[in-house]
Amino acid sequence: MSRTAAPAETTPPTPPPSAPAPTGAWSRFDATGLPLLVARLVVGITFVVMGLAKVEDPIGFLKLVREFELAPNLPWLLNGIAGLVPWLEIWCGGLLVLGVGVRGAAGTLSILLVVFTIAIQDRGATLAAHDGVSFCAIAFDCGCGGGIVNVCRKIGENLGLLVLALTAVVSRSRRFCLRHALLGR
Amino acid sequence: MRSLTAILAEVALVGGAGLLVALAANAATDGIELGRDYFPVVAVPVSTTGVAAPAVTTGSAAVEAASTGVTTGGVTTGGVTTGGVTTGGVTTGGVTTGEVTATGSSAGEASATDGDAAQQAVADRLAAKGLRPIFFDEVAETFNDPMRGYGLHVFIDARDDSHYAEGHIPGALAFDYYHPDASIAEVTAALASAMKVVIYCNGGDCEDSEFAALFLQGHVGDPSSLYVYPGGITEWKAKGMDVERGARDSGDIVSGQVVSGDESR
Repeated sequence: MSRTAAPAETTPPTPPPSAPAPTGAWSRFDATGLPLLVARLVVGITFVVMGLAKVEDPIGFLKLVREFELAPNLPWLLNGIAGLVPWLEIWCGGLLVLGVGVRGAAGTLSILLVVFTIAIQDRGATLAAHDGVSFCAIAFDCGCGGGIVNVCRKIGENLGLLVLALTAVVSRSRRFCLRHALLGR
Repeated sequence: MRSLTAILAEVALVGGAGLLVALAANAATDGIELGRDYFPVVAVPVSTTGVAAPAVTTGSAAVEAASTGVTTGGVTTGGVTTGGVTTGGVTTGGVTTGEVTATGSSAGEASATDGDAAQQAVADRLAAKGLRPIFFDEVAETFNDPMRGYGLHVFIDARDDSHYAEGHIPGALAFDYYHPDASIAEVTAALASAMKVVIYCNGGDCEDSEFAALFLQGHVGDPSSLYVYPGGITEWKAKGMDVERGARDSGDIVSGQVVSGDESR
């Protein structure tokens, strides 16, 4: 029985498909694991802290979510957002910090960030139109866990977090991740 | 494409597991009751509730506020609530505008007509829910009425426990609408003999007193004995009335001082 793999014994092992040899500048930088580590820690810690702030006062968060008028006639949806999203944030944030299920957790948080940012933009625009002031003059408690905040600043923060979360999604590095430290590749 | 599919699969897996964890955590921590309608929408024809028809029936302020999702709180002490965004004081709803800088002094210059209009807007909004408003002068009169000592006039504080402990109208019962089980027995017993019940919360854009009143309508013999005090504890304190700290009848009375401006809590 002839095996075509025989030459592999004399050639360097090829990297696994999930971690191709870095070529471009970004790939080389990504291979250091630092971009992923920074993205994981910043996004993960932020969501854990914000989530904890929300679950500490679920009724307060429920009232704030209600002001967005996302689901005025669907109490179960409103309750679901207020009751479950904070725990989902803590779950995904915790996974990111640990480095387990990184792409799934970062992808989930990316979706949440997009939805949050659209909702904040819409709410800010409504308030600005109602009060006859410029959009960036509006500050309100968006229920994000940080109290009253300027709407433009909050949107900027969300976009920054989104970039980091997407960095974690697309990163091919596995360095500094608990799962790969324990189980290998 | 394969990579995108893998990412979406991981998102579904992690997100799905996260939702299961969230369901368990929410239930374990006595969080949100997922099946409860915390904010019932009530639109009761005035004629069927026994609520006196408002003298002014435009209700434009309430309608406008409702359209923005911010509820006008009506009467605020030392200030005027404008379209749901309270200026010149600490906002209870957390809505401020950077360019709106009304101060206590400018608010103090608001004409009596503005105040009447604000009261009327509150009356309209409450009447639309089948509720009866009661304003400061009558609240104070009710408080000082000897019948309160016999349990015929009852005050109910619809805020949460921590705010109640910080200071409430002396003798008021605590009733947290969002966690009614803790106090519903005591409140129901008090309502059984009450002729007049005044329910309040923070004032401003606080709606907890309204939801509490709607909830308690089913626990009182005569719903028309329920009154909502829109000014709330904020106006009560600003008018120089005494507040009681700690538990009910603790005796820890803080003598009131008339303050300028507005405080949320």
